[in-house]
Amino acid sequence: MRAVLPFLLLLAVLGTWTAPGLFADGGAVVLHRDAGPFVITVFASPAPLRAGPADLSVMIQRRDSLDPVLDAAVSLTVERNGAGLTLAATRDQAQNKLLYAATVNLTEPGLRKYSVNVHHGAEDSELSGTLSVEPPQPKIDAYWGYFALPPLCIAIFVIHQLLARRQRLTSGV
Amino acid sequence: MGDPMAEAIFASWRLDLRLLGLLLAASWLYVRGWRKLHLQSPHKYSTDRLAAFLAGLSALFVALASPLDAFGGLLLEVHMVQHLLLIMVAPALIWLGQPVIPMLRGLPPRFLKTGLGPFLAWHGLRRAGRLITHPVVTWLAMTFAIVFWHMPRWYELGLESTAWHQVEHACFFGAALLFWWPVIDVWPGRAQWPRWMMIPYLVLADIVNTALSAWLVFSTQVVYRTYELAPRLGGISALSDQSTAGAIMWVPGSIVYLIPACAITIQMLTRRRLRPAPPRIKPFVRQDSAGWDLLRLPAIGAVLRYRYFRRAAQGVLFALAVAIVVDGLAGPQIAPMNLAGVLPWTYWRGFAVIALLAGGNFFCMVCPFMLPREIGRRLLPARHRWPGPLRSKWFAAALLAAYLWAYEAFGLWASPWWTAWIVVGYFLTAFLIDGLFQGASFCKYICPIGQFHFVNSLVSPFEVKVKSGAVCDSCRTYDCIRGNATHRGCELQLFQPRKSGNFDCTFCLDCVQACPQDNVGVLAVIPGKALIEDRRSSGIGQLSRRPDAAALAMVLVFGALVNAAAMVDPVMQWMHLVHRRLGLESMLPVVTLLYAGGVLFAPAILAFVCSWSSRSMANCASEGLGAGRASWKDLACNFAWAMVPLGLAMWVAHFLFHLLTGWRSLEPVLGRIFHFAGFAINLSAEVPGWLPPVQVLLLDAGLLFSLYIAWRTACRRTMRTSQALGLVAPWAMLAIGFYAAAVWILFQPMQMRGMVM
Repeated sequence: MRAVLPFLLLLAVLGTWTAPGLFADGGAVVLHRDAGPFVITVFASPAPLRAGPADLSVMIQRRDSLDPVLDAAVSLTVERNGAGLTLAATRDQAQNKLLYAATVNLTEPGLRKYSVNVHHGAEDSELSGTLSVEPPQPKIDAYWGYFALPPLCIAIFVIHQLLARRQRLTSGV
Repeated sequence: MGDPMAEAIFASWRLDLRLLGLLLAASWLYVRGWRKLHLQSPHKYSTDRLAAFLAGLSALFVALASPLDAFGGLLLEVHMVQHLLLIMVAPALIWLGQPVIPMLRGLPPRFLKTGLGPFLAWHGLRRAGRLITHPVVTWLAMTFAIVFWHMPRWYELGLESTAWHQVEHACFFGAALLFWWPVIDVWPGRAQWPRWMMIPYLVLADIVNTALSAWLVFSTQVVYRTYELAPRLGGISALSDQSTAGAIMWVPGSIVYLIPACAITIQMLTRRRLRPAPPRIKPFVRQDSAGWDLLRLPAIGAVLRYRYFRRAAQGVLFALAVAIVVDGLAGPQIAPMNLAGVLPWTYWRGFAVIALLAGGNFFCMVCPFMLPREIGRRLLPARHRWPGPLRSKWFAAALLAAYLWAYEAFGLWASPWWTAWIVVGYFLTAFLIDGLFQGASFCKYICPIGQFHFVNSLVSPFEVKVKSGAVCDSCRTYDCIRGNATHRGCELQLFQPRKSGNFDCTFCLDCVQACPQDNVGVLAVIPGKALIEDRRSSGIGQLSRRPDAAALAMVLVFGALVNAAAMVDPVMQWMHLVHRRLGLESMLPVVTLLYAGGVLFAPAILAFVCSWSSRSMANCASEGLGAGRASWKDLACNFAWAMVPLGLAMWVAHFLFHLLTGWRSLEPVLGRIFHFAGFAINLSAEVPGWLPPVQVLLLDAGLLFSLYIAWRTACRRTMRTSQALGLVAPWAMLAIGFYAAAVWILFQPMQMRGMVM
């Protein structure tokens, strides 16, 4: 068991280390505006936005009391390839349960128009804005930590061998 | 019903698997070591220590995964509480657990001695440790981290970017660990200042904290712009939020600094010793170190040991193989709609390599081709011995290369008909070979799937082996190889007491059943130990003296690369370009060229070049002392095995891709067979976000393991470091080149074979 447990532990740690990178929903505020009876704030993560999966989240507050609205139906429409892609933003998808979040795949860099539609009882509201999407991160940048692992381990091993050798020589003397 | 807003706030936890995994690993390690130390020294390693350490980790988890993290971007006061946990609560509690010795004792003793030992005994590291834990350094580190990250520019950076936010938290936590080290007086560190000096140390830190807090409390404008833009919650203005945050930093922050200062003062005045008197020491009794046996696991072990388990599992796989044949021949010739297109190429391959990586050669254990072998033995005489010239792995290596080539050349993944015939061919061959020849000739000398598993299971963490050599020494019946009245012995002529590694072992467990002393098990071993040690093994000899087996290994390793390369876009384009340029009618010659070059010629040429270079470099290093006297063939046979982990990593990375992108591909097939209307063909073959990092990590592990085995192989051949470096260098270059090619292939758009697109 002694031989296997550390191995399994290492695998488990490495396995969890590769868990999907979550965007901390919220991120940077890209829009904060009054819209009808609501105050709507739109957050985007990562900041700056890059082509690829992005987290858009929305906070809806009542304009009069600034209390968060938690039972609205929220949809996000993002322009993609000349057409609008509409996604439902839900609280389930958000870490911060006061927000409504949706993950959108921003396929190309550039300026993307988007709109937020809020339905709450008889009240409807819509807000639109523009997202600036930068080119995707090169894979070498995204995975540099994984590529750095072998050289790091090799360096540690080399030092280990040198130290072990020196200690052998010392004890031999 | 509660307040929906409060419910929403308390539901805002984040399931951060990375954090959870690390904290659980740290807890496990600590508890493991603490249990040993608690037995020896219950007073020194009391349950209070354990509680403090676990509370510290819990505080860390709360700080990073609780609603504090979710709301930190909206309210500065919440963010401040999070930082206080990271800076003042978690590190202090962790150090109160005195974790250094328990965590070291929690490591496997061998790793602690040979792995960490040289580092722990390194004077340079000790000097560096004393330097960075010097109170001046730790105080400055903490002060700098706090002041720097509270500057608006850097604080805003952390708020905008998740990555920088993590860096900020790491700086806080790391600096705080250093800061609290001299205060808690962590063992085995030695105090560098008199104890009373900790009082001004803490008071000065509190002065800095007070100044920073006062700046936030009394500022007349919002310091951090993000909070000015953020939606306001609970009617709290940004300025009021900032003042509250400052007050939290000021009052609880000061209390945390002043409590230990007061405690130290009281201790000094009452002349009590901070460290408790050494308690009575009980000797620590080490438990029996016999290898861990998979067959002793409560449920799995019982199932594996059950006499009819293997036969039942083979029956299930045989039934599936028959279903593949029937559907492949009679069903629709659309691979994603046919069992023959889905079961073998999407599921079986994926699960087989996962089993190899996690356990051992479990496919051979439940091999569906056992049944025709058994029938063959009963119907045919099976009197002949396998021909002498063919008693090697040369033929098997050639068959394996042919099998890999046929997969691509005939598009087996896309042809249920061909797949069915392959299975039928397998049945017939197994029936004839084992019907005519004695022993497990089919498994040992023919079966390409078996060879795949034999070679790769050398890296598996489990091995069928004897539990106690002493028991075998007294054995005179040798049932494990000869068999007895009720059980047969090893068909592959592997004599357990002299067996090393999993090569040629089918995990049939015949030896386990036959041993009257119950002295054979499926024991946990260090993965790849057989490759590192290269001992002479029964029925095989020494792997490094088997050119045929080395050739088989190289075919398999390079087969991993070529097999994956043939389905990525740039290589496919290149193949089509060659096809057009040469004006060929069929792609077959191009595929043949690719496979002949990639699986046969490239490994042979590279092995020759590396061996020749090894020899030359070792000779240069030894200045003609004759270190490189070995022939290039000898060196190739030695070092070829070092490439096996890298090859397995590539196979696993590749097959995981197909398994995960096509894991629902059985649904339309079952829907067709059983006429389920619910199984619509609407599967989207998306690559899970976590797969590419896992693939790269697998290759990282494969590369490191390969390099290590190459190094140990070189060290076996020579005592001189310079010679060993010369020997290993060309093979290391080959491994690194292989790794680079594998990463490149995995990052290319890959054809999702067997998928409904």
